[in-house]
Amino acid sequence: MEQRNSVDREGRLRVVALQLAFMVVLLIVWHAIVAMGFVTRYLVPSPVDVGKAAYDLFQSGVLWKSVGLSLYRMICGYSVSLVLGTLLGILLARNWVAKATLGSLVLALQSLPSICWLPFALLWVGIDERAILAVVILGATFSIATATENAVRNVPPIYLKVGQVLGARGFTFARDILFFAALPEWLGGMKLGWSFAWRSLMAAELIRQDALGIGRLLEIGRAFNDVPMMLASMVLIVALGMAVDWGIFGVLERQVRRVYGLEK
Amino acid sequence: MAIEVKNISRTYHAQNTKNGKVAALGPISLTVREREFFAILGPSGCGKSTLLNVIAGLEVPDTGEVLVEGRVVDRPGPDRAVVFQEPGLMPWLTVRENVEYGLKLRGLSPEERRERALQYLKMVHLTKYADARPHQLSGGMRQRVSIARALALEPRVLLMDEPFSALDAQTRDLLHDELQRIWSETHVTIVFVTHNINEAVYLADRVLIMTAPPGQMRRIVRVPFARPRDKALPDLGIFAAMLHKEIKEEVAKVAARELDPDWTPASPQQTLDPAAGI
Amino acid sequence: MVQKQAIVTFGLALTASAFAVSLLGVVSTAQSQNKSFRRVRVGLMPTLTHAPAIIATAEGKFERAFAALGYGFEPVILSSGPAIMEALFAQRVDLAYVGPGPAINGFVRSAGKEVAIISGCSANGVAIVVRQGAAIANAHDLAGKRVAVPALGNTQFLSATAWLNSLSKVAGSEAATRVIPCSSSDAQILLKKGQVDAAWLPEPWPSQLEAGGEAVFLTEEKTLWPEGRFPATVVVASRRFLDENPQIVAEFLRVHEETVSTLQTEKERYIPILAGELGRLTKKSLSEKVLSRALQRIDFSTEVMRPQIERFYQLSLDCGFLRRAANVQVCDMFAEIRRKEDHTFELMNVGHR
Repeated sequence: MEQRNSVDREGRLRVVALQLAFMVVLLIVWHAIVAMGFVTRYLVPSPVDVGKAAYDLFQSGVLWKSVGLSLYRMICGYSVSLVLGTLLGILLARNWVAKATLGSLVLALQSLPSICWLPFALLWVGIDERAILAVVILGATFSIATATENAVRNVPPIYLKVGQVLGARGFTFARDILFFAALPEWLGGMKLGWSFAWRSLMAAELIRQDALGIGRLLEIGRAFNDVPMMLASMVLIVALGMAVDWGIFGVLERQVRRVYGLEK
Repeated sequence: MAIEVKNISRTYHAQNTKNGKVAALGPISLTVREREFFAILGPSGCGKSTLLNVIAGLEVPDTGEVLVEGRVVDRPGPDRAVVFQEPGLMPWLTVRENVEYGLKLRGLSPEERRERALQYLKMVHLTKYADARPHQLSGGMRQRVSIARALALEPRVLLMDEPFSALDAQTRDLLHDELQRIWSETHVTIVFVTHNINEAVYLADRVLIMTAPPGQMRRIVRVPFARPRDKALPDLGIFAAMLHKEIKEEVAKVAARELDPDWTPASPQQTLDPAAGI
Repeated sequence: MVQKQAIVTFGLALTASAFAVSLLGVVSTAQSQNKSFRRVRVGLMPTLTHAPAIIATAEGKFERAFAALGYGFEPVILSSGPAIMEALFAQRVDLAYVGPGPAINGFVRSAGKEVAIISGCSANGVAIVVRQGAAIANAHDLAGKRVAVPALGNTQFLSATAWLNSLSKVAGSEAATRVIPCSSSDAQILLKKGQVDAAWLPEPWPSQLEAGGEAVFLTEEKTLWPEGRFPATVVVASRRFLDENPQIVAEFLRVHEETVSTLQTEKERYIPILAGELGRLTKKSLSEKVLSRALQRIDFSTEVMRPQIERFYQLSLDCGFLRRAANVQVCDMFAEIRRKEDHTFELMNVGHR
């Protein structure tokens, strides 16, 4: 067992090394193409220009303010949709009346990109943090609800039977059996919900130009023809998205899968 | 009288039948005695698992009722523990926690739980794995834990629904002997559903043979061998062969219903090796 | 094993780069498309400070002038200055009417390679209106208030941000969150809901808001300028287009200058045509009364107000919207076309005089 772990680690290190090498070669080739003058510099900046733009953002403090504001909105909006979506999903999975009525509505709303709500949000609550939050919440809630519903439905029936014969009922049953049995798939839903919320937030920040945020950095770059800043913002969006995806949800998911024995 | 089954029947919804219903079980009545090892044998689909689920309180019959120790069954209860075909160990708990979980719901203190869990894990020889995760165990070991989990509840009745049918033959052999030993140690009443005739003959005091669906009682056979039994004993094989004939008739009924009309049962001249397949 | 992986990695990275290069190739072919151009494309916006462009287009003056040289004419109507500069960068527009803010921005960002200011179009014509009941008596009371402007990065965005910064002395990004880019109809809603306190807009929108009772007039932007006068719209040319086609640009400027001077002297005469065109382009009906009032605030002139334009550049630097670049001098931004004795045209950088 010990030995296999060390082999695994070596394999993983090799993968990481390859990824790094790939990125480095990519950056060098990108830089070379720009430096050799094949493209218009102010339209296609080199990685060094992008780095400089990122450094400027960092220096002026705009970077942290934007990241902080965007993450704050994500945390607020996402927690609300996590609670709402989970409750809705459980309701849909356990109650056929809700499934028949609310279910189709949830499916319909899920196919509507949440950014389409923004004009309404602007009319109803005006330019306000609430408009952005509404878009984030609407973006994540329905996908979390659907994923939760599936997670609950896909709980292997054996756990339900075992739980019952062991004497778990009502809330105890939901907390001790249903929750844990649905957890691996539900985590997948949470992750999906986060990425939906993230996309919605970026779209909202791009359109709503009155508040700081990472999405707005991109739009500012655009409005001021500042291509390095646009690329720096995009890199930032990717980096933050991946950090949360891998750093939080990836780790959680791996942990759960390991404990459950779903992967080696 | 540990268990009294009175006139139980059960139908299921089905789409391809005339009235949208298909009779699955019964009506059937029987009694299981205190400390008896009672096996239920029948062709697949005859409703033996349904009967067990009704006794467990997991399914509600359309007619009739089940009494366990004189009390009407209307839901799962602490007097009846169940071992399913799948071990159904909860992967988010350790082996010991799995065994403890039912005790926790009964309100036992952590010390009592721990002690009792280890006691029953000892009975199935798995104390070494008390803190392992279920996925680290083999199929046979998991079914041992499942048995320990059921027994730890110290039920009056242990209901077993084809518990060994997913295991390989060697593991099954081992567990047959273990179960026999455990039964004699604990004197729990066991209702054991199986489609394996040799298993039923080897383990049970009495065997209920069920008919093709809707499953009714064909007859109840007493297994007239003293314990501990030896699987190599030719009498056991001969007895099993006798039951085999009866089961085969019921299986043929099912097949005749399901297959093309040109199907006929194979000629009954096949040799029966008394020792085979136990 | 390791060597093989290294080779594969390198190969894949090269493939990815090749993909990127071919993508850039698409971009550059899109840019060179205009080499064999048939039509002159002029960018403009549907506001009153662009009135000369609107009129010359509507009356077919550009069309006729270019046709005489053997070219077609295509007006490109866009909604904001940054959008016009984007179109210029993307070679979708050859000449454009645009505010000085985006023009300077495009000039500096492209290191002087894309944009030249070739004429003036209108001065003033930008007013600040405030919400009914907002406690704002003069422009200094705007400190800490939320101000609507037409677009992120446009000239009013720059003016408003700079003004709010000068009032509160807080960081540019702080002030920027109080300057709210929105369309004129959104500005109307936001004023009504009290979510912005003022709107800093080019005509005819301030006059329209006043007439609708949504807002009251506070002041004109020109009062905030020491000269009492500032450029609202200038005419820019793509540098490449200017270098390659001085004759077309000269002809364009002739029509432009003629239109500006007649408009300036006979504003009232053009009200119906402006009402029609603006109404058509913005889907909003503008009364002739509103237009008449709005026109009074605009001074149409081809004068290139270089000190004020350089001041705009300074404001962009101060607000952090631009970084000072060593290789860019804002005086290189101004270009003039001269007709020589032999009737050929000469392009001159006039900035150094």
